Amino acid sequence: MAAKRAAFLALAIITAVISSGCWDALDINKKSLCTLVLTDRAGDNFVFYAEVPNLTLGQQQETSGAAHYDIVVGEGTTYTNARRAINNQLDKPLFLGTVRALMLTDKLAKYGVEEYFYRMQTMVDYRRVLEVVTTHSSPEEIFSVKLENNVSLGYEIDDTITTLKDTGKLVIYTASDVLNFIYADRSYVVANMDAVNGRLAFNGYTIMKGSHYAGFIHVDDAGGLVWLLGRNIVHTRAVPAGEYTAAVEIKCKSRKIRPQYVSGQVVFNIDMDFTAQLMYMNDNISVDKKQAEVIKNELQSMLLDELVKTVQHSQAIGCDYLELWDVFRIHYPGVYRQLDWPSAYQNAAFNITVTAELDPGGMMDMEAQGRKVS
Amino acid sequence: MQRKNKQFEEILRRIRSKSMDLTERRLRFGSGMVAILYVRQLTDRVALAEQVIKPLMECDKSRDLTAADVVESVIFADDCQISTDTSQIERHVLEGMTVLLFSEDSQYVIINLKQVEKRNTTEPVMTYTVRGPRDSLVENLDSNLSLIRYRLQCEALRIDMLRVGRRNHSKIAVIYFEDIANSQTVAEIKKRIGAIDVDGLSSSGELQAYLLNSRISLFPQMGIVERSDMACGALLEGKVVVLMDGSPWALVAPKVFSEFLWSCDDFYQNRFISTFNRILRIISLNLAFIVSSLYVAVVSYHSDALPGAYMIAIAQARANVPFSAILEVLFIELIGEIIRESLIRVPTKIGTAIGIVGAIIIGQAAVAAGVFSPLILIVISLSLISSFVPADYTIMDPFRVLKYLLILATAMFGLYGFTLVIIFVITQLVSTNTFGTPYMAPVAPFKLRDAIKSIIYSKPSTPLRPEFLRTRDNTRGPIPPRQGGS
Repeated sequence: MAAKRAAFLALAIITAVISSGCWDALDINKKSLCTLVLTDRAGDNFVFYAEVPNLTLGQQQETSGAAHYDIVVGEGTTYTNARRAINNQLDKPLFLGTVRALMLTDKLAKYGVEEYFYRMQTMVDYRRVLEVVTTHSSPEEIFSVKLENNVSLGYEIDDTITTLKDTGKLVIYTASDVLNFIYADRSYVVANMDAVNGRLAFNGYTIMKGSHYAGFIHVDDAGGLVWLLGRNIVHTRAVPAGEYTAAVEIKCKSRKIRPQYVSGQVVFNIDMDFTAQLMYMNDNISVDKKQAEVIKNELQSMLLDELVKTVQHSQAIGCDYLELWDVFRIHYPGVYRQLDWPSAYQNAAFNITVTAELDPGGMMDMEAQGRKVS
Repeated sequence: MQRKNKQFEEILRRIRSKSMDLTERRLRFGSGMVAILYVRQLTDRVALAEQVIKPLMECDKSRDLTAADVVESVIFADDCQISTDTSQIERHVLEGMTVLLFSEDSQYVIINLKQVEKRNTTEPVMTYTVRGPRDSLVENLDSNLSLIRYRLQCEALRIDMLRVGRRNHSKIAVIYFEDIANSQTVAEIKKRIGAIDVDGLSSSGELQAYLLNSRISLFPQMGIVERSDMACGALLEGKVVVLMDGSPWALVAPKVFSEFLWSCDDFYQNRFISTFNRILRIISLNLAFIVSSLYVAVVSYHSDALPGAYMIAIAQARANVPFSAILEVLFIELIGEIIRESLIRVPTKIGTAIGIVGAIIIGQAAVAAGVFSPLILIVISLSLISSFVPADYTIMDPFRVLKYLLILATAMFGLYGFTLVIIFVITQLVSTNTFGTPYMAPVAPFKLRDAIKSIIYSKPSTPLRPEFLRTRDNTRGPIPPRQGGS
């Protein structure tokens, strides 16, 4: 009896193992690892550019053994056809779990990106936390840029974005976030990188409304955007102070957005509190209290101006890319359900106050009268 | 002539008929005889001549001698006793005792002049220490007991002598502090030793197999100790030490899982260094167990769990390897085990040669030929080296075997299979107990104080013995008063 039971148990285990074991799993070297996907629209066709490391060629190189990357291009009338064209050129199945960046050309953004993101959602191995960027440059320009530290363009984009994000200079969303925005038909911003003077550079934000391109903000005009959307943002500004100019490092200390719904109108009270560190003056002078006050006032006015411009821009193009809908929804869920948010947002009133504390640091001289230091 | 001891000749005949390789020496006194029986190989013959034969020859030969006379006023030997149970004579002689049998007295004398070939106390081989004492246990039970007695001169130290084996009657010493050790543990160990019914035991390893709670348990439930200072340390902790004549290893019980990771140097070093080393051993044990399986999981299933740069580097390293990750890992693990096993069994000089051959053939040639990737060599080497870090090597044995189960499960189901086996191992660990003490104590059941002290330990800062040992006296020393308390 015991032997029968043992045999039954063994049979059950063996059957379970054989039937549910992942026998079709492929080792990492049996896949074509993709590090960058660039998606473009050429005429009526979709074009995929996949950056794939050539493992054996990299090994043969006697120098560093670093991988050599190939660009595989697939074009088709549909995404499926374009992908098939890619597959037809690869000796191993394409593995999208290694993709570091997804780059969308502005042509595709204008056409609409929803189908691509729906497609992405069905691919279980596609990395969801990859950075999404847009570009105004053509794929040829992008793939001809000089890479600084990486031999892979995917890594170059990822590293650049990560560095800017970590140093508090950038607002970025992942593919998963973008998919959620598309599903909810929200407005959002996507970092834009272009080929500039043969190099790849972050130069602003593409504004997307749902799955379509809605505008562009240059990096120089994106100050208000990052203050309102970013976390731990650190920026430096050149602040005019009389005949001199002060270089100031600014951090957002607190950001309070209090929505109100008054007489059928949406009102946002935005209180921004900044701390600023005086780094240096453009001339060899010590800063006195009065001058510090001037710099502080100028700074507050500059920051207020940035915020107002951003809010006005978002209202003008009817895109709530500052995600204020979420703040309002939390406070007034019932009202929000009944509102036509795009028009309510365009008609919304904003009360923006900016306070800044200036730390003159070692530049402060209590007895100085704006005199030069010998 | 009528002998007073009518059995005298009969006993001698009986002993002779057994061909026990005894030496018999007869001395005549008055109307009777004294027969000296001993085994030459087990007896100190100089002492026999000086302390027994010489005094007997020099005493008054005109009178009949009795056992009491001889013990009280003739022989010089210090350890002697009188007995009447003649059925035990053969056993005494075979144990190395010298027996004086009297034709005119039914009592006989047993003299301890035992001298067996024994090893000198040497430096420990398996548990090397930097700062600790260097004397290790030897095969001779008396020598081992003397080492322990020398360190623990305390009247509460109990040494219960037991015998095991139908044929060889091995001497076993159960040692414990009467006022510290848990009496149930002591009773249980003595009960299990008493219940052993076997022809004979030759080492403490065999004895250990009879003392386990469960014969099919994966994990060692008793510690083995090579050094006398560690045996003494265990006794002071309230544990029971079992010594067996003929074995240089002491058994210690109870011993919980975390204690297998402790080294004797932990007690002699700065607490911060000891803590660092203990954490290092925990990491090493885990590395030895899981690193090769994680390699399989990452290479075959969860490539995206790695940072992309590593992923491409791994793929590149494996680009020309003909084997799948699982076969590669199994091959190298097996080769590693073969080299390890061969190195243990051969002399050091040959072992070095095997090590070099193994390293060159496997390390360089196999990678150059593209049979294995360089990364797998790093992984398996890390696993092998880590397996030597835990202080008590016996704890690594089950993990060495379970590692293959983990590799296979991971190869079949990825991290899901990996997790299943880890859960199985943890279940096994927490359901094991060592003489009534939970094996995973103080982690399961969780006792914060003991758990902290099992990692960060120093004698001055730890006045209490661990709660899980259930000792009769749980204080090692005075408990310092709380600072700042009212």
